[in-house]
Amino acid sequence: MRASLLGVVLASALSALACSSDSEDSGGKPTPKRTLVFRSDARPAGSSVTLRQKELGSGRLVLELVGNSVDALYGVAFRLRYDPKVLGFEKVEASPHWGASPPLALASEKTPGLVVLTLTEKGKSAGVSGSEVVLGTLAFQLKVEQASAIDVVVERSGAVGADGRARPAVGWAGGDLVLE
Amino acid sequence: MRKVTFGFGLALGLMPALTAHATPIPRYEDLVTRRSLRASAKLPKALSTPLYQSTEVKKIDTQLDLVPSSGVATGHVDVELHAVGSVGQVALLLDSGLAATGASAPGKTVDVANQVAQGYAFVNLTLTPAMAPGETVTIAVDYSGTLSCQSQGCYAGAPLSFISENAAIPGVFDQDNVGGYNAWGASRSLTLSVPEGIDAVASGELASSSTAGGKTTRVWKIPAFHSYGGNVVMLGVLADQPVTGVSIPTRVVSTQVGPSHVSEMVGFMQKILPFVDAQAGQKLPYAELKVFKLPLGWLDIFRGTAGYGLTLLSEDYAAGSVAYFEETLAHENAHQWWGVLVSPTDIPVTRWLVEGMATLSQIDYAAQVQHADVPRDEYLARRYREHWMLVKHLGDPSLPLVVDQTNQIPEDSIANTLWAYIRSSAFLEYLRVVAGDDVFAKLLRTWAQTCNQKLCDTGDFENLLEAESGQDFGPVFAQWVYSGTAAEPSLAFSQSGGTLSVTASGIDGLSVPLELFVEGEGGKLEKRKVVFEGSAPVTLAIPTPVRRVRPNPRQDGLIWSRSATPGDRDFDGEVDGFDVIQCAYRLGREAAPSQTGGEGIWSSDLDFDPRCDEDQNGSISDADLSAVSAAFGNVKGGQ
Repeated sequence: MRASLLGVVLASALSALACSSDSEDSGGKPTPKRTLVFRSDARPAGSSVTLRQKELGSGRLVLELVGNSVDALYGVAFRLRYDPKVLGFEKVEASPHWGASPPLALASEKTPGLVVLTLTEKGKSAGVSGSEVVLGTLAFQLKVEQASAIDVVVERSGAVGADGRARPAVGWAGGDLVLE
Repeated sequence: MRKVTFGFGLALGLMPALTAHATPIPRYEDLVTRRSLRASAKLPKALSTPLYQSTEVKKIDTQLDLVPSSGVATGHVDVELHAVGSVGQVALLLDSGLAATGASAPGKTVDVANQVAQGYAFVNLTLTPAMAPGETVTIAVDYSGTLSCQSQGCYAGAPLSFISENAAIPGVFDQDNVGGYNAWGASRSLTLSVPEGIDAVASGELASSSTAGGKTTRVWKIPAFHSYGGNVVMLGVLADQPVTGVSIPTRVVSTQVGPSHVSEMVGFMQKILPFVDAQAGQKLPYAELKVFKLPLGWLDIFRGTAGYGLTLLSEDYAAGSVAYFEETLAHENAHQWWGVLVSPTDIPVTRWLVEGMATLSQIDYAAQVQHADVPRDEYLARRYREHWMLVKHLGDPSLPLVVDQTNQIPEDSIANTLWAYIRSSAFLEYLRVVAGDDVFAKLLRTWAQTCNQKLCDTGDFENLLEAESGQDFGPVFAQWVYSGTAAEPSLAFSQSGGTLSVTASGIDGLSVPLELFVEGEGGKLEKRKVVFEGSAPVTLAIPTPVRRVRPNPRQDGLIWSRSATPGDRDFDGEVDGFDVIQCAYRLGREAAPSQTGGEGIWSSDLDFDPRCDEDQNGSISDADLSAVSAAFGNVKGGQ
């Protein structure tokens, strides 16, 4: 996780350097072109569900939903809030790590800027376990390349274990689109 | 005086008395194979009065010389009768292998006629002159023969036999065909002689025991009060273990052959008896409590019951799990109060204060003792959800808990069990939630104290409930005790200016008190008691934002509530991932009993959630999950 994030940052930095002579400010000084990246919020301690960038470009943002230190995770229910002028929700897909075939992946954005999501097993299942396991991907239309937050509505988000019980200890973290 | 011919007509009238034992919940698997109950008799409903029509039986003193191995019996009974009206006839009921050989009464001529029907011998006694109203007479009857044990009143076998009333010990009928119940207020004594070396354990207090001439003679006495607790005697070569550390002398008895589970039962009783004492608010008033473990295979002979100072339970109940055997043992011991010492006089038309109460106690015991690690509310809600499932899919919620006539009592054994045990206990649990746990706990203690060996009935229970709670339960009793209906409210709520408005649709015409769980946005839970009068909204002053409003799920056994928002199973008025996950988790689950790994009364899947069963067909299928998924995302704006 940390290695891949560093990779993204490094790539962005190199890209900025490579393009540094392509533009100038109003005073004639060249200014580096800034690149939009998704920066994950700090990962909560213990078991958590977080977002990280998978793809960004061509008017599209794809995030991975990552389960960190999860054990027998049966399903996740969560809501994301964002600026509807910047992002519009496209789709959610479950990863192959879920046991159910197919798992259930639902999303609904009835209110622009608020998407309600769930990913879950069906029927009897041992659930998903792992230290850093991709639970699914979330695709957004990137309407404008500008900094913006993607927040988890924590009070309406939660995880359920394979015993059918809520896992209140699971933490959540969103992230930000930032220009670097 | 009315002239009545005893015989086959009388036999029909007898059956409720014969089957009116305080018994454990029948196993579902057994009921499936034998669904038909014996026909019910027509008996009057009497409030707080004994069931005497023409004749009150005051005393039954029996002397019996019995050889269990051969069934040869010689007996004598003195029956003290008090005539309410003019009484010219009574009948004794005996095993069909026995017959009366003579009878007498002071100042009367007693003609004897024996007639055999349905495995019983009916001994018709005609008194001349007839007893005048208010007159009291003791009739002495000699009888003898060889037990055939073709009825429910006895069993001859090794290593265990039993005898009870209506077989080797006479039962009494009056001329109005009122059998069994009319003798419930009688005192009993039994003097039993059996060959030396045969042990005997019986209901009643052991008054004496002596051995002479190769025979052991024991005398048991049961005081006079209206009760289930007649004579039951177990005979064989027996072993027992004392139960130490409990409030009254107690022992567990079994046959010497196959004494399995006795040590475990001793341990169980060390937990059960303090529980029963606490629930009734007093210790049992016996010199000794005997707990008899009936052997494997006795399910079809005598699965268990409770009598005066005697609790019996078949080891067959351990077949499912030892834990269920333990809670069933708690059920039978609870009957010492709910059935034996407190024995409602309206028993011919209801079982809710006997079987319903014992089932309530059984589940309470499981919650308090066996599952103390689970929060009580959560455990009870989970158990009573089974009652919703069973009544919804197998039962009849429209059947009153107190019927007008005994012929309204279901003859189908499954329907009967759902009425007597399952729906009755669900109603009691509902009352407890609405009245409050502390109020209800005090009510049970008051009920035991007030009605211990007294004449009480449903009306008395309602009066005590209202006195203890300060609430009017008239409409509730009218809806579910004296009539019946399914209550399936759909709840919706809105909040404005510090006022929460809650509406329950689908209960037009009903008055439904409920305890609501009002959960704030921060997760704080507040319990509020309300009364829904049909669909009229109730308002509550709740200044902080509310996330969900739902009935206390312990009420679910009787009040089958749902959210008014289709697909919303957790009552927040939204359909989000939590609703979907909970229903996805339950995909494939069935409401039917006898599920592999099942729990509860009839091994149901207690993870079945009726609120995920959108089409209410008793199975949570892909179609149900699709219905929830289709509603997914229906959330309140901006949250």
